[in-house]
Amino acid sequence: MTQADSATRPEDGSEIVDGAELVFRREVIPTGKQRTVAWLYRLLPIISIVTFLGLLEIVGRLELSRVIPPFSVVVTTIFELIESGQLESFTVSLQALGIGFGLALSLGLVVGVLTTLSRTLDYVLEPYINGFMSMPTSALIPVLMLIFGLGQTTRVVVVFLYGFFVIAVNTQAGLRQVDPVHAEMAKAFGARGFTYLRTVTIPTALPLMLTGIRLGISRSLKGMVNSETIISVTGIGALIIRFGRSFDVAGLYAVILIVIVLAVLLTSIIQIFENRFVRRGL
Amino acid sequence: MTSLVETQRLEKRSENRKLRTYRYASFIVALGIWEVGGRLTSELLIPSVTQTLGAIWEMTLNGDMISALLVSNQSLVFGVILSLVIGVPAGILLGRSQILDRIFGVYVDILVVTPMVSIIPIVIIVLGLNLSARVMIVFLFAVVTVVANVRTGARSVPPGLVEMARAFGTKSWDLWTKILIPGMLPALGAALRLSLSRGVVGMVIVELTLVSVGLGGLVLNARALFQADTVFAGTVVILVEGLLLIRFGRFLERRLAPAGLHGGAA
Repeated sequence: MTQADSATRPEDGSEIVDGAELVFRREVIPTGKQRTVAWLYRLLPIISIVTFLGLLEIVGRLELSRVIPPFSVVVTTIFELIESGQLESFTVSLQALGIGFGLALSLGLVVGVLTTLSRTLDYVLEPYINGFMSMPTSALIPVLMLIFGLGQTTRVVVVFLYGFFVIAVNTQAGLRQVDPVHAEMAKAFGARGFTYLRTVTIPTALPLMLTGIRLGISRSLKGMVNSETIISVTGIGALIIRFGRSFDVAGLYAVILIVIVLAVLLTSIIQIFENRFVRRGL
Repeated sequence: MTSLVETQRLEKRSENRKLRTYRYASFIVALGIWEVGGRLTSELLIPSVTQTLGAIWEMTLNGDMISALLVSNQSLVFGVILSLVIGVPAGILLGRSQILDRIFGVYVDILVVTPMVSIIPIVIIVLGLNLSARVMIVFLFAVVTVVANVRTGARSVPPGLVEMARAFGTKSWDLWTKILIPGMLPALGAALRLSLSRGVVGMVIVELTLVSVGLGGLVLNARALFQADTVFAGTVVILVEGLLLIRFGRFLERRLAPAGLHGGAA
């Protein structure tokens, strides 16, 4: 529980205070200059990233360091990797991610619901869930390799283990938030079965559940890359190790860029649902 | 005459006892399954509990385990301390300055979701296969979480308290020592704990991928030689160390948290 809290907190509280001083009051019509400032302010992160990439390009072109290639070279390397077919192993990685995360999501939701319903089950499973949440799961990968071999199974299991526990814990935490007064009132007005779920349970629990799913997908992706770098046979992780061993810095950055884009993309998709839902609220 | 309250209390106590029995029973069943499974399958794949414990004992006696632990934890200690020394001020800056957060916060957001393993090779190309590379990787794993947590903590100091202190003309030194820092203490505690748990992850991963020394190296070598009991033994030691460190982190967190500020409606 505490682990889940602290894991969710950083992203949770952030939007509330963000930019509070520069939010203009609705009644005051901002002047043209103020509007430009506000726009610039909103665009700052993007400006910052563009500047950063520009700096990388300049430093890369000046050849100041062998580990900083120009950004344009990294981008062209991605296309070269696609053309030469070296990224084909990526589909295998994505498959492992899909299956593993699918299992983590469905079982995580089921276990979250079951532990909310049964106190005994909750009490029995709690030490395992807490333990798995906080221990370095990557240390288990060599053992899983012994049990499941070097193939896809190990990767699916790792992806599952990375994602499952956060989802289960957050589902449980979300369901626990249902206000007894609220529940009582809904029942008094005759809400039962599906209506009760739709009007009380789901609206209350969904924000935290979505947070769990978002953390789950980012952890699952980490599991995918970690297992592949440790097994180092196929997939994106093996590419990372291969490029690292051969000092192919541009290739390395190309793969890292792909991984970062994938990570940001997957988490922001869920973040969009989360924002929409939390804003609409109860 | 037993009162109703007392009967309820007794009932509750017996229920708790029942739950505790289930918990221990599940633990024993899990160990039993492992033991039986280990004995049924090949020793080269899954050693039993007793074999694993035997291997741990043996390696403790011949000193392999101790030296591996020492090597691994060197990087952990330096990396975690470094991540706190740099991560805490950075987090406070981002949390208290909105303009800095708009400029640099986006990198924290991206790095929090990025699998850090992917940058291990770059660190190694720059620093080589040595202690400084391992320290750097532990640092990188831990620092992002530290910054993200401290940033949230610094933001969530009750604005009402800050406002009040300003209204009473508090000097900025007093504002920091009396309001802001105490208000951040819970988040600092969480950052401390998370830096330990992320640091262990970094320590293990770097040893399992490119710099095979310490506990990770022990496990990898044993795997190559099909010494399954050593693989299991090393893994168990790593996991136990991780769990103990988090326990320690929780303990420190609890010591820090009550000292924090309470209340203060916005």
